[in-house]
Amino acid sequence: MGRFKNRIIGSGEEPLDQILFNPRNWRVHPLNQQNALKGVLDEVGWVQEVIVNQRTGNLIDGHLRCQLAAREGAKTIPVKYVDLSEEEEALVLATLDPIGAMAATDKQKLDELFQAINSDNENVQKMIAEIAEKEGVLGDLPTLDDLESKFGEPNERDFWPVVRVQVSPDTFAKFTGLMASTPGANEAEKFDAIISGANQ
Amino acid sequence: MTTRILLSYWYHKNTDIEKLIKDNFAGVKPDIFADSGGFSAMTQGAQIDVCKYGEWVNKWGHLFTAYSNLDEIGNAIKTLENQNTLEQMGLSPLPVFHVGEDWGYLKNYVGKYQYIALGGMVPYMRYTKKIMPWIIKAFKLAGDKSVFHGFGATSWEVIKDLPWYSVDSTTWMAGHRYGAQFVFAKGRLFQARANVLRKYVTDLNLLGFTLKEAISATQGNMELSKQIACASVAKAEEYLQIKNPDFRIYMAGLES
Repeated sequence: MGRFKNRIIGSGEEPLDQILFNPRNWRVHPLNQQNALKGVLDEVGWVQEVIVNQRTGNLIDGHLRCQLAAREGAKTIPVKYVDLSEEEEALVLATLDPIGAMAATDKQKLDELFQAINSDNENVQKMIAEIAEKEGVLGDLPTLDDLESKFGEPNERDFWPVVRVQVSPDTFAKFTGLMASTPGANEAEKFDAIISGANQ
Repeated sequence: MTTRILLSYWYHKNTDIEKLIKDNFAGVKPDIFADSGGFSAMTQGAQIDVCKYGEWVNKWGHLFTAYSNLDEIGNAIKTLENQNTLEQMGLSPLPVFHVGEDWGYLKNYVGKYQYIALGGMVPYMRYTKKIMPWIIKAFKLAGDKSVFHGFGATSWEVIKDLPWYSVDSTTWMAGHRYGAQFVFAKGRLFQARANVLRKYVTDLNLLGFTLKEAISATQGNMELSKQIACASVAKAEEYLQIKNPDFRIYMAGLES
């Protein structure tokens, strides 16, 4: 423990109807967070207790877990008890989540971790996709065959030089007439034939 | 984080490159990709002498990670002649294959060189449906024998899904000229106008900038614009390296 005091005084299971939500709780839980947590609870179950300050009776951490447990019909929830003054409780309530969020990401390790997860749970998959996007962690590059299927073969004509010429309507009429009367499967062949003829 | 820059002979033929590095990079050796700047020269009505370019590379080559051939877009024969001339001078430039050239040239390069540059793509960067099939064909042709540098490969669509070894761009530095700013946000590198930047406050903060600074960059603060672009490109490189560990982006920006 070193010079840090141990403020944990016990753990157990508490009836959900005895949990007192903290009146100063400042966190709100959007639907995607609710779904993500439900996904992990469905897949794995409880791995961490909610935290209750025994001195005040207030919940300090785990409001969403309590809500989800109640919604799923649970009667009790795993609890860790701590003993804090009101002032200390306020400090912990204000900083517990934000301190966790301050951690930086080792993308390589996160990517490896994601590859080790093999969950069919839709909520878990969605959460992992969201974390991957947020943290900039992606899967492998698509294969060249996949890309070729998506984009197709190159059309060499797309890269031919473009020549823009402004001419009078008379000249244009003569040109279109010449093109129409010149043999060839397309404009390129006709133009080749005209150029070849001019060179002879 | 390594700073990577594209350095062009056309703009730096008379520059003391060692001093340039010392003045701009505070003792940290940047990763430099050198090219001839032949296209810029041509648009200014000038031509580059291949031997002079070779002498420049000979003089400063020890500072470059790689350097490319003096290429001529649309003239594969002349480009190959320049490649041979430079090699006869004892140099090892990356050969350059351009959009629209005969695929036979690329086939020959693939058999002989491990690192090849693809060029002439800039006019097509906005037309992904046209350019992607051409690039995919080049990659398929190279297989695992050669890797590619993409000259002016600036489109996110073009760089994100392909196993490029390197790309470069001047465009990323030019956002401010069009009242926009290049930013890396939500897993994408793109140009955003001031009103759109408001959506990306968190991403800007992660890059080390405030929304106010980013808006100022779109309004003519060139130095700030360059700083945000550099940070964004570095972040984009890091992002793409997750899928493609060797990938590197060279930025031009020491020309002005």
